[in-house]
Amino acid sequence: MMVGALTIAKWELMRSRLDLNRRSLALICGFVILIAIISSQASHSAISSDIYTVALDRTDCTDCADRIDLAEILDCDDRFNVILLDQGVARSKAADPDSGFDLLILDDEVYASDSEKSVAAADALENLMKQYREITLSTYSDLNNSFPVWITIHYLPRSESFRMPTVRQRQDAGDEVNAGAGAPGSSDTMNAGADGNLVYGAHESEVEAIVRELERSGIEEPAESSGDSQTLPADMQEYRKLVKNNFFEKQAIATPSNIEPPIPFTSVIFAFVFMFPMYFVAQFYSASIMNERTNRNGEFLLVSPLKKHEIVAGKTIPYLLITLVLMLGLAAYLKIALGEVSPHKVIEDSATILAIMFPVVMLFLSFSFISSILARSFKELTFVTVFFSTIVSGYLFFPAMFAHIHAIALISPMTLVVNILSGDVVQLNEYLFSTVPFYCVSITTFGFGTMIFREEDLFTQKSIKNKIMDCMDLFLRGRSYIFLLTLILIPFAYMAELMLIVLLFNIPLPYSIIAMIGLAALVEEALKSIGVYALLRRGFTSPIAMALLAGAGFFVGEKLMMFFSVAAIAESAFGAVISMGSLLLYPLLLHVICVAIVAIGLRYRGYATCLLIATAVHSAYNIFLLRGLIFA
Amino acid sequence: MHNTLLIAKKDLKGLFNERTLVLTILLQLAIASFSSFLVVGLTSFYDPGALADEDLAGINIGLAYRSEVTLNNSTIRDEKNVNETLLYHLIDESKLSPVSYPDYSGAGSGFYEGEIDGIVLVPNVAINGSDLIELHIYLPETDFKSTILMLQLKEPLERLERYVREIRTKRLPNYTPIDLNILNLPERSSNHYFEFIYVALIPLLVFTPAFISGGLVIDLITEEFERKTIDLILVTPTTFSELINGKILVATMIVPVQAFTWLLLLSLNGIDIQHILVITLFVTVVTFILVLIGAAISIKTKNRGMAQLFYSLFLITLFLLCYVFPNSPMNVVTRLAIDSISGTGIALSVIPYLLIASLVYAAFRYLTLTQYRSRYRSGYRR
Repeated sequence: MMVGALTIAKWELMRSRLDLNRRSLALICGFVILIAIISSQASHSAISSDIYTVALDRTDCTDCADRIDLAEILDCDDRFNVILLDQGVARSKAADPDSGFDLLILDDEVYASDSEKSVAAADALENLMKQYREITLSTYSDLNNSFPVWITIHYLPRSESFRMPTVRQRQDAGDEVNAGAGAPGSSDTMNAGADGNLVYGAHESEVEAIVRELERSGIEEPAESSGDSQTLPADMQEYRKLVKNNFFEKQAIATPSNIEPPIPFTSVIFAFVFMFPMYFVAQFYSASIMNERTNRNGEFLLVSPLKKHEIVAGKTIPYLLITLVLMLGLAAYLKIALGEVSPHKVIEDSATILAIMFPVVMLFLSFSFISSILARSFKELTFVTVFFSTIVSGYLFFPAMFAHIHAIALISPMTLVVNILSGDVVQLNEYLFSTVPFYCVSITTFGFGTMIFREEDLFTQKSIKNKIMDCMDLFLRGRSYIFLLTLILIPFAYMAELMLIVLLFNIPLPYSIIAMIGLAALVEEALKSIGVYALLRRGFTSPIAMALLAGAGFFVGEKLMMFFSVAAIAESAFGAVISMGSLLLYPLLLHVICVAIVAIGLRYRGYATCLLIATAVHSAYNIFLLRGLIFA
Repeated sequence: MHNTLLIAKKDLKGLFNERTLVLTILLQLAIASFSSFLVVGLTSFYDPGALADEDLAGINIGLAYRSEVTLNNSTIRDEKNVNETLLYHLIDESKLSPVSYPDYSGAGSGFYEGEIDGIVLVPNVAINGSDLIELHIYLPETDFKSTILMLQLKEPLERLERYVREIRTKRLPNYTPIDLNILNLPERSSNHYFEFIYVALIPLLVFTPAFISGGLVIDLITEEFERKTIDLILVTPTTFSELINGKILVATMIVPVQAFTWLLLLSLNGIDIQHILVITLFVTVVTFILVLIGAAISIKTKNRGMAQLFYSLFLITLFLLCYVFPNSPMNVVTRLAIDSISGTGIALSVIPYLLIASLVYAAFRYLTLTQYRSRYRSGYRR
């Protein structure tokens, strides 16, 4: 069976090599080299050059040494457009707010107007002066007098009050009690409950651990404290080494002016680095699929004695392999560039990164696949692919920005890549949490695409809606398949809702929650009812039974997803919440009722109207649940 | 001319029919909201002032002291006087509320119970001495609060550093600090996103339609080649040059509409944008250049995949060049929007691009249209 797929894969490789003749390959290489050269020259300041106008008085006195200094310092920052004025002119302009300058500097005094731009210019000036001070001071070799204050940052584990007591903590506490540390009845209000005394035991030991940690660095000389790799610099040379140090690590020691918040800008950059090859390969892939569709070129593939899934696999494998090879190369290169020497470790980490990126590549390719089957023309294909790439990039980028900061960052597999590049280990549950939605969605998408990989859909100008309906019709072989359909559509809802959070981020707070509820409900209702709609179109009856099946399928999927993700990320005893009676029954009822609204409503009105009504009901329920949050 | 318009009309209709335009606008909306996510997220990190005060209400910092603390060379041994120390004062003036603890265990359990969210160990070093002053800061692991806390602590710590430096840098030879005094500055109600909005957001939003149009013209042209419909068109009185001109016209003319809408929407949002009409015109000129490049590539390759690949590579190169040279299109838009150029300055920065556009068009006509027509007449060559 795989032989057929491999033959197709071989053809595909040969064909695309013909596309890329020697001249275009040379051109591509030329472009890549050019891009590399330019990006090494690029500086952020060129793009923001000359946005502020600063006037300086030209002092022609004897003590003008530092005056010239100031003009030179300002020239270093391209944002400032420096204009030298004679002192008399400068004085007369100082009183005039509409002088046309954003800042006017007379002796040691800076005159700003109250425009927004002027304030921003003053901010920029302050920062520039701070930079100048740091650079000047670092030229002195007297560390104790030029950089007198040093900060060392340590991180302590602490269980958060809003978090549920974790499973592990309970076990620890249990052990302690068994060992005989019989703690008296608890007065701990934080974890009030039946097992209060257990938690109390944990409390004692954790406080002790914190105090021990405090004493360790407080009493010992910093040079002796073995835990931290970074210690105070002894002289200026070490200082310079420290400032230049790997920007990847969590900054542990710095002077107050040099301290940076732990924002991994780097992770955004790495996300970009990994996205580029994916984007280009996906372009080629969709072009190849589209090529089979123009002028019925793919007719020959379809009449060959191969199964549909073999053809699809054969067409996909070369692109998948090329992308994975590129990823592996990138990962190994980055790892080496970041100073990893042992080849064993490089290979191991690159392989792990590959395992993380694999589902992401799959998702990219599956979206390109389905969009090249759905699209009616080239421009539609371009837009659909660009749209999907933007959305998926957003999904990858934004959570990754909070790598090292917050657990929510684990939503994006990019966070795991950043963690590995900075030398951390990735747990299996973290891997599953961030990649399982990718696996589910990409496999499902490939599945639907393969179903309509047939003459009726490839070579006709059917509308996108009709092609999607074809997918549904082929999947739903009987009424009971509705249950399965809604179940496998859950990851789509999950990923779509996560994207909505990002998209709605900039709307002010109460509105964004309401918009989020409405849109999330719309996504859920659409995914739930699409199967019912397809079946009713085919003339199936008994909408209530279908609604029951669809609602139940969605409910089971939702709970599985919740249990899976929350259990993976917080290790919390989530079962307690899931098995709470009231929360179990109402959502099920809600899901069923909403699907039933659509199913019955379709007799009288169009799909869109029914969908909107169901969404309204669903939103109303959610708003009722969250009323405390919204109307507080 | 009539045929050009006919082609343009047909392709424009296609754009509306397929709802490609709707998708384009959705795409731009997505980019806009991504960038605002980026800007709000990042600046609230970088600029603690950007965070609302209520976010900080629940955050306390504990100060645990060693047995004695020295300030201004006078040793304070009395625990009650600990509150009088410099750092306590500096932190108290910031948005954080300090709590002082005489020993570690008090601070430790305060930290665990959530009374405080961080601990600063203050050392026993004289400010005017010559030893390094080493502060140890303890923050909760994997907690959003630790980031906010560190940002809030940065300012008082910097003030401490400045204070210590004022005393100690006097010992450095020939060191004269430059102190600038900023006058008549209004209350710090400055927009924290100011530079981002004008330097990145506005140029990006305005040029996104232009980037898209370059790709659009490639699709329009290569589709005729790959579906072999070009042969059918060329047997009509329409010439090859009219066909291409029509497609270039469609791809270019949808951009000023989108760019103008963006600028208008941003203005309505309270962002003050100057020279809106000049920016729209300027964006149209740049779009025209990009569309010509896209058209030239697609006539050369006649293959959508290849043409898109080369166009993307070209676009990335041009985009990066904006970061190398001043007076790039991005920079011109920024300066126009922010009102940093006027009069002759505008003419000086816009006219070169008009010249480039006409040069590129002349070259395009010469290289592709005139040469191509004769070659095409001699039969279809792939």
